[in-house]
Amino acid sequence: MSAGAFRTATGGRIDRTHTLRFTFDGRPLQGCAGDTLASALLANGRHLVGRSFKYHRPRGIVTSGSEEPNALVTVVRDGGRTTPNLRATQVELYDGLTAISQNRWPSLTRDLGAINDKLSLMFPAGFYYKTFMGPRFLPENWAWTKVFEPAIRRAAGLGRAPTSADPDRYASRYAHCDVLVAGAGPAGLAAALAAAEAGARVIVADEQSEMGGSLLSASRGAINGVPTAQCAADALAQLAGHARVRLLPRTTVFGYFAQNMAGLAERISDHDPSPDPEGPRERLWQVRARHVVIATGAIERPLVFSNNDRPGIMLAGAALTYLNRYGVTPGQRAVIAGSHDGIYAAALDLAGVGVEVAAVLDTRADPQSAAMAAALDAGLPIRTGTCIVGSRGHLRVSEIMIGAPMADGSIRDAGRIPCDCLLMSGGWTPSVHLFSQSRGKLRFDAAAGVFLPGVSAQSETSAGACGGASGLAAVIESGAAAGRTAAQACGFGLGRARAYRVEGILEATEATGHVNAPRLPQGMAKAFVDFQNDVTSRDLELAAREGFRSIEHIKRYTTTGMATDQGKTSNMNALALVSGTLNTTVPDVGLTTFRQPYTPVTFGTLAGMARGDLFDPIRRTSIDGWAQGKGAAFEDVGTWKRAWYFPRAKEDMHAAVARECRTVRAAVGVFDASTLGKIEVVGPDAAEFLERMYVNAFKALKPGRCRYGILLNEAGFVIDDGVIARLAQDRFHVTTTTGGAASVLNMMEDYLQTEWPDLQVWLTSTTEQWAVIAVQGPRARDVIAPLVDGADVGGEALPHMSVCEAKVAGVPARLFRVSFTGELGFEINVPVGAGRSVWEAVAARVEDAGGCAYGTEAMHVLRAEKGYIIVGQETDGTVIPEDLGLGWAIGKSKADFVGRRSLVRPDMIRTDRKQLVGLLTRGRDVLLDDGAQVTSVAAPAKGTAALGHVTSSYHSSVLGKSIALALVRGGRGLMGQRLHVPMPKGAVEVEVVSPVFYDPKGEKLNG
Amino acid sequence: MSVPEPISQLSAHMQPGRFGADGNTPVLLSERRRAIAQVMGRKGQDARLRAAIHGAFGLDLPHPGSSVTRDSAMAMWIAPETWLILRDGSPSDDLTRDLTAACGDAASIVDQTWGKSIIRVSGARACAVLAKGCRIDLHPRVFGPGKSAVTPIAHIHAVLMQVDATPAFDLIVPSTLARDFVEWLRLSAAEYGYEVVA
Repeated sequence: MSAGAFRTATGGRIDRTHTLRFTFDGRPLQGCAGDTLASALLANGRHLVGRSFKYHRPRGIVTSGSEEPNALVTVVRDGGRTTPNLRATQVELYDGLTAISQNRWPSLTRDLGAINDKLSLMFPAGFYYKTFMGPRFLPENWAWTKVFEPAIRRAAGLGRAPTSADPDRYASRYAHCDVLVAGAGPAGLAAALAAAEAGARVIVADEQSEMGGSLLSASRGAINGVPTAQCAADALAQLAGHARVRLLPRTTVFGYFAQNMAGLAERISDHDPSPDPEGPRERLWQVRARHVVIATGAIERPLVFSNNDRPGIMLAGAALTYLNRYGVTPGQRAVIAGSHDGIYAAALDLAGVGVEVAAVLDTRADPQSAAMAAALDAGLPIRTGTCIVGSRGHLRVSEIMIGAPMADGSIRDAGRIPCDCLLMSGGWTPSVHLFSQSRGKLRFDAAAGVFLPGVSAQSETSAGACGGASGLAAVIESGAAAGRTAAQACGFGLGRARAYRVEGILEATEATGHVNAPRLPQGMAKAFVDFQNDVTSRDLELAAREGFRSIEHIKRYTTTGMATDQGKTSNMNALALVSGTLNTTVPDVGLTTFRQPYTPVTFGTLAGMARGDLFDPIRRTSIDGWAQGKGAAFEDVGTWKRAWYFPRAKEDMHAAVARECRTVRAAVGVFDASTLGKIEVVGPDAAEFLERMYVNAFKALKPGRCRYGILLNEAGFVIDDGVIARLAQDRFHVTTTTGGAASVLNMMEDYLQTEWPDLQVWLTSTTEQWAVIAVQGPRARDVIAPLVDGADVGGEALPHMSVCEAKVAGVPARLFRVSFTGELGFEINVPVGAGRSVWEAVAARVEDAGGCAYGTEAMHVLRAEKGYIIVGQETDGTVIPEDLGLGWAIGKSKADFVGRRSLVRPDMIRTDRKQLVGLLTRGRDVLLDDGAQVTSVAAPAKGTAALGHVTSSYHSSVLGKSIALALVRGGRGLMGQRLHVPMPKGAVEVEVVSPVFYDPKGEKLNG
Repeated sequence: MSVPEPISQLSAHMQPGRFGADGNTPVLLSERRRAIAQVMGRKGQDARLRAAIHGAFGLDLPHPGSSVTRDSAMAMWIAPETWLILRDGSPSDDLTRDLTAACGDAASIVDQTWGKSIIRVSGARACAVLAKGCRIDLHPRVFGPGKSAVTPIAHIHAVLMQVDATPAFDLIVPSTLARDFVEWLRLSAAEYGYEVVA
């Protein structure tokens, strides 16, 4: 027998001639091509694969698909490529795969954490809400925050995430289609074919490696004369023939969002033994579909009884899949039990390959089904009206205890049956997760005892088992009908309906079966409802007893149906148990929301290419390349990369900034100011518009002149500032702060469109159009004069705060005479395409004049020496112009401007508002911390409000000392007084001075 | 003094060559140089503006979501009463002057030649490359030559326009973000293979 003692000789879709080696917890094992990790482990007789979340109970493989609650493993490729919490049922086997079990120490068979199972009385539902709060002699919450919570956090979780960076690549893309089909089982394939044949663009996504769903584990019957198991391949071949169809295997539709947008996670390389290192590992699809066909099938329910979680206990449908698809038997001696006809199909198929069927137990008293009749004909030992009450076995089930329900509700002992596996079916629960996520309203089908899609909220159709269809013929029929409906909803004709003739299937009499009454445990035994979260029947009863009534509360109190499992196997059993305990109906208890993602999605998939340099767009000026060539250090300013300082040989940042500042003050410096926001305001009413937006008067501003503008919000607080130049009667060149460009433009557009639609004004962002080269320093005019053609740059023709159009270095330019340093200054605006060449021409002359390029840090120091504010540094959204000493800028005779009314509120005219002042440290020179508080005494009593805070602090090489700007309560009235600035190493005594530290008379502005 | 030749911020980042995966159908990337001006129609001047543009450029200002081309000029709708006018020739071409002369006070004109970069993406896999960052459905049933859209692509505000059925697309992005945008395009096109052409 190949690759495992529990492998059948023939049958299934695996390749017995292609052996794959793998290890589980270091032990070498073999499987076949086509196996999942789960089927390969089972083929080797391995049922024990993990330890449970809370009690560390030994757990085995329960299902064969993505609903697996127990068999979570870690798959290791290398350090960074380690993925925890993968379902072994979804991990495709490849040669060399390394898997390890989780949540156990020191080993899977001997796990010290299993002590929790014995101490379980200490950990009932919600234990962390009611224990560990004392003892009372300790400070409140001390024990919880210092001891218990850290201990619980350490114990929580299953697998461990790797700590090294993820070396894999991830891709993402948007896609559009007419019809998205979620699930490629019989219903999904029929829907896809029908929609494609009607002319629709179709995307079919299925979470498994091979499409076909339940068709792939069919053992009998035929569709239109073709054996059932072969039908999927035929349908896929036909779909592949349509150019409009995209088939996405290994792709989970993990979320259904608004406007028919679905999130799909495609696993591209996890199954590949040697993936392309350049290729993506996973791909996120964001699909906008005009109609969605949900064909997600149904999930089998476990039975709830004492110790129903032993390895070797699995779902009957899963056993059928392992047998018929993977050629694996679950054991040698099987008991098959439940309340659904699926148990007979499983019993017949297992008996057919020689597995001893010890008993088939039907909880129903008188099932009356064709499936049972077939099993009786085969001579299988069937017992009706019999339930399971418990199991025994160490690390694997070895025996089950059975009972007979009596009329009074009690259960009579009906003996024990030795076995090495128990296959159970409590019926099937339609997978309504995606429908629920689409915000559709579910309805409770009392006859079937399950929730089914009710009222749709978006353009979608549920087809097949997830829509409540019963039997393969009906499933296919509903799929085909859904496909045609979907195509029609997208505007295509109905097309010809295909005929499907299904024969020889062992159909169940009821699709979903009924939820079994749980067989509640005696004594200390546990009956699990939610395997993944270790929630027992007793936990749910406790919650009900303690007064919880809504399933929403019970879910959070007990954790049932939470986390990555989202109650796939447990939901209906939990609802039945709670409604039974509360003596009410399932709809009265309610249903929790199914959350995305359906199965976990890696962070890498969601991040896609947005990492490293592509995490956020990076903006660069046209002079960026020059600065890089000069070895500039850069800083991030918003999304811009700005030259921070230009270090020369052996210079550190402090030395470079000090030199740049001294050079500007003594000679001249050149600075890249291209990032300044620029807005062209054009139209006959442009001056009127700016007059209303800004505090300053603009109507009187003459063409060719500039004005410093302050922009307030409606509350009167400063939100932006900048120089505004009038180029012509109807044209202004407005500059904003680097960070404020977009929001100022939006605010202007907002006012223009909603408040003053009568104004004839148009706005264009020209931030990108103009490169801005600032030349500042006493020799600035000498530097630029020879480069300027067509304008007089002399002090009389071009005074401070004026603008002219001229050619600079041969390029048409807007030449501003402005200063943000307090020195004689010009800002040359040239089209970005010429930015670099004009910069180089200017920089060469600056160099010849003994000057240098300077960066943003020197710019900050120079402006702070002059007490010039930076919005966002000296302001924090609560500062008005008067606080900054800028009250002079407000046009006193103006009728109105944004924020004007707010400036006369009582709070705004108080004389003890925080005001901008300068601070100099006394005694030794100390660089104050930005943001440090300013207090009246060195060690104020606890609870004393600060007088204000330091807004900017720099070392000034020109002044030979540190300087700081601060907002201080009533600051302008405190000139010369001593205050204190508490710092980590003790309070520093400071003197309040004018915020203008350098050239207070402003004589340097004229060179 | 000689006038320096304007240079694109992209030239250093779009050196011609063949990159990424091998294959016979690489995606083609290139920078297009055009004079660009933004034209904003003044209130109540729609008919005058349309007549002026038609008279001077032979262009009928297009409807939302579309563009028109005539000889060397093209007009593209980008916002209500707002169009981009593009014209072949060197970027220093004074398109703005011609437009201002033609429109008078029917429109406000602002030069955007250097505020925008134009990148052409073409080839059989062009749609697949763009789908990695563009939410617009570019399928021939929905989009097509002459259609345009204003949409974020890879977090960058872009104007997208289909040039022909190759398919070829022109993407107009803010010039200071163009280099970042090209980096994203190159990474996106690598799996299909791409060629940067002059």
